[in-house]
Amino acid sequence: MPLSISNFREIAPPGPWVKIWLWAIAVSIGCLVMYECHLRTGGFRPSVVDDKDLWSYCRAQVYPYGRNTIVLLGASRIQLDVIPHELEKMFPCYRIVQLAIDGKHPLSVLKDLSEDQGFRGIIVCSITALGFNQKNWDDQSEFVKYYHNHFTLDKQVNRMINTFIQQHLVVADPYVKFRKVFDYFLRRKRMPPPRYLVTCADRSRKADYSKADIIAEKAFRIKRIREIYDQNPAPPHQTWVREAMAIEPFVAEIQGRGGKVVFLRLPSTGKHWELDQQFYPKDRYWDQFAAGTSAETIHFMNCSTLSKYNCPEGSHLDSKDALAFTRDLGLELRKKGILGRCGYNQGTQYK
Amino acid sequence: MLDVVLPVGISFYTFQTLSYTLDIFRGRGRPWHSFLDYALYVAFFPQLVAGPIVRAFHFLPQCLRERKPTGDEFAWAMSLFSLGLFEKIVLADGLLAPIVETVYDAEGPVDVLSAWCGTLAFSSQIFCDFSGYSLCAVGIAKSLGFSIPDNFHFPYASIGFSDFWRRWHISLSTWFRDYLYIPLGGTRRGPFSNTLNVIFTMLVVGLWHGASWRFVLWGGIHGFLILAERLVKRSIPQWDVWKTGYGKLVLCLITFMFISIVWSFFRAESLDRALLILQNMFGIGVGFSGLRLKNSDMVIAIFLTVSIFLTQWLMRNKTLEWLATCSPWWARSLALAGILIFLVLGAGEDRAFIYFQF
Repeated sequence: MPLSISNFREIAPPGPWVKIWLWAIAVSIGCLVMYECHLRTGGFRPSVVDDKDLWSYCRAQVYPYGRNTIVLLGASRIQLDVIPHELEKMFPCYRIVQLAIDGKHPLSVLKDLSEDQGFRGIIVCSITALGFNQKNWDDQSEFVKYYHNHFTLDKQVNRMINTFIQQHLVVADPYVKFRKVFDYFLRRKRMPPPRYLVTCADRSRKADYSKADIIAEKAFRIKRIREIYDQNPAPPHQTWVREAMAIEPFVAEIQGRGGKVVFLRLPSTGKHWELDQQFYPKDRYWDQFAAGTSAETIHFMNCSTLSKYNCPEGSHLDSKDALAFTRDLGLELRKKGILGRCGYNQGTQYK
Repeated sequence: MLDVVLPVGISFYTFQTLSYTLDIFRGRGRPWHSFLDYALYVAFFPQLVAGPIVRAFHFLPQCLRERKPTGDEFAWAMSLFSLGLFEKIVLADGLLAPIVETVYDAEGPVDVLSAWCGTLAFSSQIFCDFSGYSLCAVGIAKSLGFSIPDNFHFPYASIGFSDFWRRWHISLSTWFRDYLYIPLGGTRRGPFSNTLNVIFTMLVVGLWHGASWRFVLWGGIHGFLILAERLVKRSIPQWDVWKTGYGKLVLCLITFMFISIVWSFFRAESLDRALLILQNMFGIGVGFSGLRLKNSDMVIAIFLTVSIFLTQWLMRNKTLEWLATCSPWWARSLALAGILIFLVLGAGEDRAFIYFQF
């Protein structure tokens, strides 16, 4: 044995280690239970962390139900406005997979699904006029690449365990962890309030705007959309329609395999909608695209059942409205013949 | 320098197998009779990917009899594992890594305070990250009935740079000492040869960390600091003040500051970035303008760095076993409960161990 390698931990320190560990576990569980109760009493609800692993986990679910798979694409609007579980209740033999990604336009996922020969389901793609601009097509591509190249079995198992814990325990939410609470406390000199937005295990999100500062939220949304429109001036509508129609090969590929594609414009209201109209007037942009595409299209302004809802901050629905909105959307999809041959649940309220 | 994809942990198991071969070549051990034992030694999972580097003739004799940990050993092993996990996921990942990333991964200059906080935070992060892994490895090995060497002995309590390398990544520094520095001649062939041996060994230590000039430079600077320390020890008067507690604390603090500054080359993504951060730390070209950390980040960086430094200073001649033995059972229970609570409430984003890349 060459020279010294000192200090091996050969001997364990003496002590009643079983007692020490039992007390440690009891005390830690007790403290965590108290913190959980304190948070729940204060209005906090469990929320799942929506990351690339969770998205990839959902992405892997598009196969088992074949043609009875409904994939929801889009950004935050479809995550907040549509409740997958409610759609599944209306159409029990369909399986809903939520693949929308907050803050990103969805066409790279549509392209990925069109290239995936194993996918034969229905795509409901929530999109705005901005989303068709070709420079926004790659917005979600990092998720697609992650799913194909980095979503390994260990990440899948890790994600399943995390999802299970996060959907049941508030203390598993990073928002209430020490670092965030400490940051917030230093800034505001008080504990953080409950968030108005929680994410479910199926990646849908529930907004309770009674917990939000609506005026600030609305101002933020308007400022943000105005900046986006200012920085990305709308192209002439002929150019835009030409760019939008470039998605036709993806649609044709999916529909050629027996799938279906629906492009959906979800509600925005008030000043937000005015800005949408100002920069991308519906009649010159969306309607032109709808007339040319082989996919189905649904614009909320064309459906009285979908246009009656109010978005508290101009862009998303409150979870209380999302339930009814999902039912109305389900009926609309059925009316268009996209859903309904299979297992439509004609509960009294849907007749 | 090179952009080659390498298997995880290659430098660790290469060094382990080399030590076996060299020890046999030099007659310090005899070829082991069991290939299965040898295979277990090379592929022993707790320390396979990031050390400690275990010597063959410490590990292999442990395979001669069935390993069965006692209840106390298992509980102690789990305590070490929990402490390691706490260092890694709460301190390194949860609290320190975001601060370091803000400073080092940003583009452009950072202000003086932020540059210092980011660099001190990295000193704490790399210690917690790596010693956390090593403690987990020691704990898991012990829970299986095996003992593997400690890799850290409160390194930020070092007085001088030679002392630092006796306390930091001990299994690596002793490996290089036994298989490179001493075979090169060590101190036996006069001062000039010794100087070259120190510099060469430290350059190779730097290169071991990665095929980048930043690591070579980092190793080279450490070699230079070890030589400078020897020179200073010979040159300055041996005043009694340096032997008092406060004097030692000052020397320890000076050592720590130098080591922290040199970590910049280790952490920055490029030499330019490292030099810019160093300039910013001394107010060159930026002063109090440039990117500024949040107040909460600065508080965390300073609080944790001071806490880690003081803890190591107080423990510099002691061990965790001593601490556990001296503490009443309820204090151990409370400490473990605190660790478990922080593991749930203080974890940060998932990050790979820094030393996985080496």
